[in-house]
Amino acid sequence: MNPYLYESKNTIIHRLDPRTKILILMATFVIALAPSTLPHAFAAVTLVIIYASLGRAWPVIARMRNFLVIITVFTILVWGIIPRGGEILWMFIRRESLVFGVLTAIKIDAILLAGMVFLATTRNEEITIGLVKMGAPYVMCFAFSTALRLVPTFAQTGSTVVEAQKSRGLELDTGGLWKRMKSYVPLMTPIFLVSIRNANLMALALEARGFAAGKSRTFYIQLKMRLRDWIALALTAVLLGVSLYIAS
Amino acid sequence: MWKYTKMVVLAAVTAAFYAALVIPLKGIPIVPGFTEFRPGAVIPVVFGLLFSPAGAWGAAFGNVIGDFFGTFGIGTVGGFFGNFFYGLVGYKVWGSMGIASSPEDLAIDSKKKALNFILAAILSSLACAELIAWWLELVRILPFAAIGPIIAVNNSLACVVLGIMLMGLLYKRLNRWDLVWFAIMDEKDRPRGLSPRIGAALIWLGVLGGFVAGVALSAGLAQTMLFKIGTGATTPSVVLGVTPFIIILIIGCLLA
Amino acid sequence: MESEIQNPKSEIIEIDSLIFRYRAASDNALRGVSLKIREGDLVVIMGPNEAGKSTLCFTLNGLIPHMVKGTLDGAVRINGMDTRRQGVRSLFSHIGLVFQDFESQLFSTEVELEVAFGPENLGLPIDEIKDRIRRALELTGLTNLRGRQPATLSGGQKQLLAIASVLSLEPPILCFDEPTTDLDPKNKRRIFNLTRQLLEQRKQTLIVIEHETEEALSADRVVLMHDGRIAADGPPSEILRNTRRLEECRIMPLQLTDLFEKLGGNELPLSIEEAKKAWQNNSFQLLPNARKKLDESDAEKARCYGRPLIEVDDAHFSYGPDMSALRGVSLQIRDGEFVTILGQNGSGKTTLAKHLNGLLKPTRGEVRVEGTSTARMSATELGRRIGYVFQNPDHQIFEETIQAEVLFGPKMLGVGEKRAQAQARDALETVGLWERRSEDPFTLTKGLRQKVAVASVLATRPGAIVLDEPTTGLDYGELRSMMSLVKRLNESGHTIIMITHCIWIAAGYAHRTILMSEGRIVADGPTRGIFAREDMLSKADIIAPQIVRFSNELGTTILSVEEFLQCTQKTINHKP
Repeated sequence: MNPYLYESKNTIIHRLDPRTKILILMATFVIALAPSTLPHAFAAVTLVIIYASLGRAWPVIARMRNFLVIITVFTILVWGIIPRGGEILWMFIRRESLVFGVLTAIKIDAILLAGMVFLATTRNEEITIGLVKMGAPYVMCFAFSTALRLVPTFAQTGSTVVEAQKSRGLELDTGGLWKRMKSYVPLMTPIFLVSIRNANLMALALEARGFAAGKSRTFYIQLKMRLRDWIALALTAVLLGVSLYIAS
Repeated sequence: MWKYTKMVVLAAVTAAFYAALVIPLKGIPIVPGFTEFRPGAVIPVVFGLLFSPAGAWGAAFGNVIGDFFGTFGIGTVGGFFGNFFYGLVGYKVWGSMGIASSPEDLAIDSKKKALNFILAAILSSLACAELIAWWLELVRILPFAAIGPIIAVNNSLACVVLGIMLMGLLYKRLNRWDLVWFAIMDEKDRPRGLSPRIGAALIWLGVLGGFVAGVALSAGLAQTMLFKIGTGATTPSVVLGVTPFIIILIIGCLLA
Repeated sequence: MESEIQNPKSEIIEIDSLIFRYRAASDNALRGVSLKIREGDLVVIMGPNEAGKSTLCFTLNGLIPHMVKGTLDGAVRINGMDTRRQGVRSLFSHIGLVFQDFESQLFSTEVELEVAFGPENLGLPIDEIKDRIRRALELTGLTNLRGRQPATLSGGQKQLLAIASVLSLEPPILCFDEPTTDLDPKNKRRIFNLTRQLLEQRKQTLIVIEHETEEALSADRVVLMHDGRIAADGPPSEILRNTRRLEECRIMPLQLTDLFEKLGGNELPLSIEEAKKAWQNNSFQLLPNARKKLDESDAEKARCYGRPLIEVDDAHFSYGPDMSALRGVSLQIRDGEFVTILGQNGSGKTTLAKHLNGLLKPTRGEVRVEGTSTARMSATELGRRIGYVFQNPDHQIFEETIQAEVLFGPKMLGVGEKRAQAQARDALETVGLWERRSEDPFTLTKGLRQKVAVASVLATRPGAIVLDEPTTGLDYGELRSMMSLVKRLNESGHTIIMITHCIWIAAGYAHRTILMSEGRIVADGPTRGIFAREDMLSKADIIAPQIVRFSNELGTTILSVEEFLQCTQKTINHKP
């Protein structure tokens, strides 16, 4: 089972150094959050769409489309009912509230799309090594990447436990909210106990292979910033500057 | 804690649990993209108490990984800090509320200890809600009053329904296997603040004050005695109103 | 005890009256172990669960006492280094440890990175790391999988990867703690071949903890452990012939050795070749009516079968596109049968078993229980008829007491409180745990936890019970106790369907054997008939137990030591 969004492809975005992609992602957040007018917001989301096309991330985004629709609708609704200025359009919804809602929805979509493109084009271990090379402590990054690797394992343990308890008569989808939440106890407890006990063994196995040996560590994955990375970063910087200039 | 391999692995395990339990429920969001109906929300508090800092870091990482399945974005930053404190607050106040004798006294064997857990769980949930809602308001993604109460209720519900039972079923066994934080870390490495009592009091103040202020300012209740739509505060005043309380919360956590 | 002192090899491991007690334990796990191991030797350590074998492993590289807390007395020296002073952080490159549970030893997202992890920690230059990865992958035969995610590998490949990732540290000593326990027979053989290769090509010092007695034959030395002490230590030819000592240590003796010991033979064979000679020298003979006797007792059992209970009709199942697990399986199981399903991992055994109680429903074809299609039955209805004991009892145990755990099933199925209590009591009495009902199930040994799982299924009073590898990880004593329980259940009327990798159990206990390979049934019939045809077994990559192969050479298929004793005639011994 692989629940992750990464799709192995050979695009210019896939080939970028993970550090470049992390910086682009952070810049995109700022670019997406800066706009205060609708045209500017549309321009920002267009940039993200171009980025997604370069990374051929559309299948991943298509997988998530329902999700994007729900968020868009919800954001417009929530900000729509929070009062702001302007004439009343309908009931108590004012024009400015609605405009602000749409604006925010576009900004959120741009951010989420950028996140999806990042995940669709960057492997988990590249993210980790990228963070290490950008100065994050190795041990923390190790914990993070181990967690990434454990998620599918635990999901699998989980489905075994669900089967075991189902065959003893546990029903998950019946009864009220209270009963349904309670039925998580026979599922969670074995998953936790088995996995935590294995974690103990994992810690022993790690030490046995020299984790935390205190020597300076070699990293097998070697990152190298190439010309394309510098070009991408320069371009991003320009776009970021333009965006902030328009917003101010 | 990072020099203990076991703690590192337990942080990873907590994160993986949290993410694994959140992902299958991505489909039925209560507030899509920002919070979901999560029985998994019990994890940070329970593992925060059992693994202390490893639980808090695990909660923070786990939330990021959960976001890897679609909701990765600017909200992830707030989720990281919110969930870190979600895992941290419970164990910081556990021994300082006059019920449990110390942070190591984790057996829930009486009604009073159950109350201790419920208080710690609700406080943690509010802290998590306060931080995430503050961040989302700061970046103008969602209003505090819309998101704060939903997260708080969501998390408290999961903790109160599942937490006490899980603590009962997990603590004794993990203790026997030497897999609780005080069996792993040597005395000298255990995080201990200057004054747990004052710290706990500050945490309570920072969380309750910040949460109430945030909701009140955001929903516009502070400005008007009458219920009148149209006076809700906008982002700057909400953020400014909550920020001092967040600072108090952080100072409290450092002292406790 | 110390034989062959004339060997000039130097001692690379010295353990001196070692005592260890875990922090929370009331008893010592090691009670004075002294052991010296010479460079380049293969030492096999055997013993029951909880004998202290794994504890001993952990002391070798300093995990004990540096990582695992407790009190340690005595000394361990690796290459002259005292483990108490050096610690894991400097010892890990001298002695590599591989554990039974391969899942917990893999933490990377790519095979190559997994193997790189150890050398990375050594801080070696990148080219040296590349070389080491290449060598380790070549030795373990994983070169073609270097880009794969470890999570997508099979169990055997995962264990090979765990070994490769330790090999890349190139430690002079390797210690494998039950590396094959969780593997199917084919992968067991792969690991054993690898250990032989390591000995020959790298002159590796190897310490292997193993339950499989047959594999100890190729060791330089066998050490028996029991109760935290060393109970025997010597060359395999000597240790493995001492069947009484082995039984005392709850280790399975080789079946042929056991047979000849019980027949009173004057030379104890270890292999089939030796057995053939010994059989002649002792002038043993099968009774003239042996085959008839065996056939009659088989027929006797078959007469007790009732009406058809489970019918599988051309069932197909796939877990997704290109993941076909069943490709047209048909069979009928009658009330009161004892069936085992044999086959390698991935042959579709577990998938088939999960169809029998409706956990899975066929994508094509039909499964009927008592005449009704499982597609039309609710989980509760099926749960009452067919119980399912999962491979790992820890995947279901959660309650605080054994009794509450066993009560869970009946309660969930809506049985009234009083009746549920009575059923739970019956079940616990059957498995022999009623006296201990208020204990925490997690304080029990693996063997007893497995019995709790059986009891919690029994308590729902199913007619048939499916057991998925019920003996994995149990020692010989626990295993025999578990199997005599299963046998008793069958004799009291339960239909038993058992998946196992343990071939001698299938031969010795089941009345009927189903062989599976690649999602199909390749053979299905009375166990004796199946084991008579070794060529057919080999199609499913299964090798018959030693004693069965021996009996086949004698012309009559005999499935267990007991049967052999009933069928053998001792003629008067005359010296050759």
